[in-house]
Amino acid sequence: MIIDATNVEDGSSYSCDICVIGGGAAGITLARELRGTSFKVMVLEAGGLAPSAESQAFYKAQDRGVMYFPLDVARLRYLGGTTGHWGGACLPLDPIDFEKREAVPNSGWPLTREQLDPFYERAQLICGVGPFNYDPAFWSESDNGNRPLLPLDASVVRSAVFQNSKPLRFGEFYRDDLEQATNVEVLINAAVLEMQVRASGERLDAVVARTPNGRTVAVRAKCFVLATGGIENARQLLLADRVHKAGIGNAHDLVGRYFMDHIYVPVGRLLLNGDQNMRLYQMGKVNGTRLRAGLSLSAEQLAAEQLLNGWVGIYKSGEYHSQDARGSWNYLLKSAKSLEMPDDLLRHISASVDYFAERGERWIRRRLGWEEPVPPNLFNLNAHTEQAPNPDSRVYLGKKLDDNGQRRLVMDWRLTEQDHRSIRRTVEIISKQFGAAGLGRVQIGFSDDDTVWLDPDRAAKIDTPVGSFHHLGTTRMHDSPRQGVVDRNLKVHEMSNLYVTGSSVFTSGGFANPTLTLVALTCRLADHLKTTLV
Amino acid sequence: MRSVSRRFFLRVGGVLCALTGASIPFSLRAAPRLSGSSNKATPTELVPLGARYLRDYPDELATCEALQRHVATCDHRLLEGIVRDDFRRGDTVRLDGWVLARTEVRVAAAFYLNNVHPGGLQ
Repeated sequence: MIIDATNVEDGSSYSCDICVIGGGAAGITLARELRGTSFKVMVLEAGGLAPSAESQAFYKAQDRGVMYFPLDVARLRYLGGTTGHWGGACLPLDPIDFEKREAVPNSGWPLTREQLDPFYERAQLICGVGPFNYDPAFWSESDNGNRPLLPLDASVVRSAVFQNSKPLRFGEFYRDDLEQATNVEVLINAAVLEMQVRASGERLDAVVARTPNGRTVAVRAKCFVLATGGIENARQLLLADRVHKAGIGNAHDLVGRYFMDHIYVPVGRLLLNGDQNMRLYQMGKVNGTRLRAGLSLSAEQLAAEQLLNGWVGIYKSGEYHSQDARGSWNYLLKSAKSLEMPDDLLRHISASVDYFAERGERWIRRRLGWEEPVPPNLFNLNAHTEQAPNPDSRVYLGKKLDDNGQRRLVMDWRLTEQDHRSIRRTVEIISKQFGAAGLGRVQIGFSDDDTVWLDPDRAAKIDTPVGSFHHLGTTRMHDSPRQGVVDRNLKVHEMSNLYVTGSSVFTSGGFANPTLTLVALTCRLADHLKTTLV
Repeated sequence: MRSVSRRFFLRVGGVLCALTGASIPFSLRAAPRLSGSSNKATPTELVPLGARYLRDYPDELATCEALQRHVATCDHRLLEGIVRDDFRRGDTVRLDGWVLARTEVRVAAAFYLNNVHPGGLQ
């Protein structure tokens, strides 16, 4: 059942077995996984059924450090959460991403990829993608040889396949499931204002939520799960400072630290020798599954070169546009279809104009003969790379307050020399492999934009955000409370009944888009709760 | 800033073109033509690449001069094998961002030298 909290009586009180705070990909997954159990489950979602300017305003934050996207744009505060921005890309983290890597300080999950595999399999269905098979050879062979693998030296470079969902907006797609679940109640427009920790400090007794029309609702539960997103999870823990003065789970000053995103930057272009079939490396459908492959370095090569993991996508010229511009155009289209007035109309129109101007500019230049047609064997290369877990890269509470009187966040995104070097070396190594295989040549940094990221001095002064809206690491998982906020079961170390799920628990980020992994982790948490809360 | 210049371009670009008849060279023309394929370069096309190499790496002049007499007759397959080995060993050069094998740019430089000094420098 979905209940609008603005319609409930002020001061209402609920009690349940499991209270899920947050109705995004993680919160909805957990609620669905707990359907049909004997547990009474309540989900508190701060926003409504659709994004609104008023709701988004709560996500505004200050920006320090490396320029980052405005946080009220990079996240969505409504049922379904930031899946509203999701491009649909799914890929499990690599086994190496879970390992403690000598060359990557603070790496090493308390889980292995093998342990997470059964949950990845479940997550595939939830995220709306194909079979749990990411072997590029499988997909290459599945299309009768029409999508051959690039014949590169596999001991150095490997192909890595992303599967893509429609993409799936969790709030819309799973709304009926939530409506029909007899043991699940979803309270929308219920923003958590206070987490009431017992005086002894080890237990959360209740949360108090506030509606946009000023009413309060209290929820008592045996167990609470924080699922408000990669950044907001940290904020909620930090805001709860009544008993734990530094915030819940923050005895060792870890909450909000280790913020990571995936760095997504153009790095160069590839000129192939001739008619090499590149279909596997372009978005396409194989047996009903949309997918595309890119190139990554082998685990051995990463270890030998002491590099972070990364993926280089091979895009037809003109295929790549900024997320913001393309997203704005899609948003305007969607608003027009539903006959709704879009929020922030001017910004979206401006971004859409940019999107079409870019395409138009290219068309006009070609028509006028100012620019040679782009040959079919020329491709753009974009890197999508892991960021090193870095305690200095963080979010923390600032002094400014939101409309509920809660402190807003400050984003202080920091990148390291290893982050820059990894991008640079990955592209260099791939370039040499293309030459060694006689396939073609790579031009690294053919435009000024590219070279910014290949030159550490200039990278420190970039004025364009280059993340991926993938907010990772702020409540990291580790067996030791000195190195992690949550344990391997996602329970906050110093609490007996508070769990955190979502991309904030990632110990390191790999290069894979995080939705599939956070959904898998949430499935695993659901199983854990089913067996421990009886 | 980027979007402003783009809109500006859209408004005035066509007018400027009509007035000046100007053309903007596209950097693809500078892309290296590759060996062993439909992209195979002609010696003339390799000349600018060779010039660029010798400008950036003047110490290579003597080596490239030594190659001058052999480039016209060298076995293309053999050359391609050497180029691939260069890439495998990581013996590469960056010219205008292009990651190229040492041997292929030396050959380009030899073509350049043949072009400007057909009989060799001495």
